[in-house]
Amino acid sequence: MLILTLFLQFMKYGLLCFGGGYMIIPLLYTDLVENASLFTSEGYGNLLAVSQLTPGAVSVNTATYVGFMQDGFWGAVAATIGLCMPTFILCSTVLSFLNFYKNKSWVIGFFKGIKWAAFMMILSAIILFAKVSIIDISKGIEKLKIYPFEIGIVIMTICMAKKFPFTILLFLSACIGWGMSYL
Amino acid sequence: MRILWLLFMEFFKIALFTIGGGLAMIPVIENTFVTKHKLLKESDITYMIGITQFVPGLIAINSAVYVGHKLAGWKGSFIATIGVILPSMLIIMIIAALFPLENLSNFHLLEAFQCVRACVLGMFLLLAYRVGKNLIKSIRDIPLLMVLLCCLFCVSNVVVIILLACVLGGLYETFGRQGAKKCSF
Repeated sequence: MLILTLFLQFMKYGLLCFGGGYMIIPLLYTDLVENASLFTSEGYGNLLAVSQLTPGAVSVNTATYVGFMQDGFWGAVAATIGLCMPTFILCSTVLSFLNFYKNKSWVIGFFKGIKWAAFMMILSAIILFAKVSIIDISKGIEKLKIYPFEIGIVIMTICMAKKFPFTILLFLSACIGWGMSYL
Repeated sequence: MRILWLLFMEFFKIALFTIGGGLAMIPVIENTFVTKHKLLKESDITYMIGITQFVPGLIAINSAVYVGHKLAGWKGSFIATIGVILPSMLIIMIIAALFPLENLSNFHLLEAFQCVRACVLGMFLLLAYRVGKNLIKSIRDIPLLMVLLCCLFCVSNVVVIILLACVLGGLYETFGRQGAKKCSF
């Protein structure tokens, strides 16, 4: 029964994630910490840290962890599949639908506009990642902190992107960061 | 069959080596499928990014569904989705079984991850350059870009910005530009 509950609960989250898996974070907080008190606030913070620092999609990581904590292996499977299924079905449906109507003028207009939306989305991702890697404005604009070393990593990535695959660059920057933390 | 195996392996690798969630996967997907395998075009990636924002749900899953759908229909979507969630599940289950949540704040690990995020930032800058090059072709495109940039810095809700950009961009591309190319996806 617990498996079914987990499945339905995460299916709900999957439907409510507008604009990416990050939306699951406040929803989960309400349900797990405030209503069910399965986690303390601190434990929930650590859960988020683990999900963000391990590879893969953040919300999938969170779902697997919560499911595993509640009902072992099958709980994890149920939660993850529950989370991914609405997205999968919705996205497949939208794609087939758009393909079917692709000669209609409003669909063509939509695809022309979507290019601009995608560009804006990339720019907002740049701002997001800049805030968590090279600048720190969490303590206000006066106490702005800039990390020159991480800017070096950014430049290195841009220069080496033509010659090396990204996977190697990611590994390399992780190793450099690990090594630098000892200095 | 070969394409399904390739989709599975590539998405498995992408999910296994990308830290920072579905957003961080986008440049890696672009690099893998456009530059390395030459199966998708640059414009496909642009549409993929747009669609992942419109459909509610996880960015990683939406991207996998789009690429899979484009290359091998619904079977491809399914295989790519499995590929993208499997590594997360395996890794998290190992972590959940072995480590308690309390002792996590390892300084060296945090520093390493900050550098990984800087590397992802570099990839996004490259992606922005490549997408922007195709998008902004003449001086007439600059005003729209400026308006959207202002919105980007003033409005904190990403969904609002995306909707606004889509509507304004669609109107501009349809009525403001002459001899616009027919687009397909």
